[in-house]
Amino acid sequence: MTQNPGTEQVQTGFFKKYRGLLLQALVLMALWLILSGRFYFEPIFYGAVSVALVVWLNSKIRHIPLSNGEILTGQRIKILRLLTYIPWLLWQIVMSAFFVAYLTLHPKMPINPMIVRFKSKLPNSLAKVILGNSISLTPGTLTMDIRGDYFTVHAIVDKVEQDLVSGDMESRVGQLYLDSCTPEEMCTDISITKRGLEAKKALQRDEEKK
Amino acid sequence: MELIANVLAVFFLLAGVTFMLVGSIGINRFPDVYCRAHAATKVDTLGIMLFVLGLVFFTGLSITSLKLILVAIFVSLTSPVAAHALTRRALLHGVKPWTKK
Repeated sequence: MTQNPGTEQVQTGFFKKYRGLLLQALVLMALWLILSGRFYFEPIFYGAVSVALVVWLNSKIRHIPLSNGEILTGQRIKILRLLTYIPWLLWQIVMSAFFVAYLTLHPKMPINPMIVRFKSKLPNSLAKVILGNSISLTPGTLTMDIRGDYFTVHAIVDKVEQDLVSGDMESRVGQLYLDSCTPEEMCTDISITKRGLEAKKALQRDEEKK
Repeated sequence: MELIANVLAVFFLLAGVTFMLVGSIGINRFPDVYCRAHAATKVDTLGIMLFVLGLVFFTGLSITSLKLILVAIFVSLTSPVAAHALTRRALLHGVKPWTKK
């Protein structure tokens, strides 16, 4: 896994250095308060102790490499861009539900399924997970597998396949981590197949390469 | 005020139930496991989210409604993962995708 040298963010100052842990503590504490629903001293105290323990464990976990040898430090998600990404994703969920509902209820069911395989230039594993989940939630596409930089996606009609390989969503996800990226450069090496065996063999080739 | 909240609650509950029904119809109507996973992921996610939104309007703003919103968040996070796991196994196991003649 190679990382772009230009995308490493300088970590200075207390807040910037521990931003991830502070946010994590805030989210966990909010979760604790919502789930407990009691706002007097004792539950809050136990909550604070648990949150401290979890944050301490997570700070250790960040330095353990993933199964592909990648370490998740150095690149941070841009919170402001995430806040604009989430409403867009919610809108996509609504659109996709209406789209699949339309396909379901159409008497002739105008579907033309295909398996698309493409290479993405996203910088790290977390971005790939976000993209994979987003692909599954946007109209007519479903992530089947991610190996290395290659995504295998099931698309249900031709139109959604074109939207997918245009790279619009990749660039949106890429912008969560990178300063700038255009749709054209994100999505390369596209191949479309309608046969499951071919897609399976392509997956196994990737496995052997690693 | 309570009337408006109740009307909104009923509206969203009905919309959610409709989407879940359409999702179930889709699971039965689509030709193969991959297309069925489409119906199970997307339509049902929106169905559950609308249903929960209706319940939020019904309870009003309280700890219970915050918990309901958490349910919606976790469902929308886990349903694509479940569909991904199912279709990935199906592909590796050699289930043939249905194709248009």
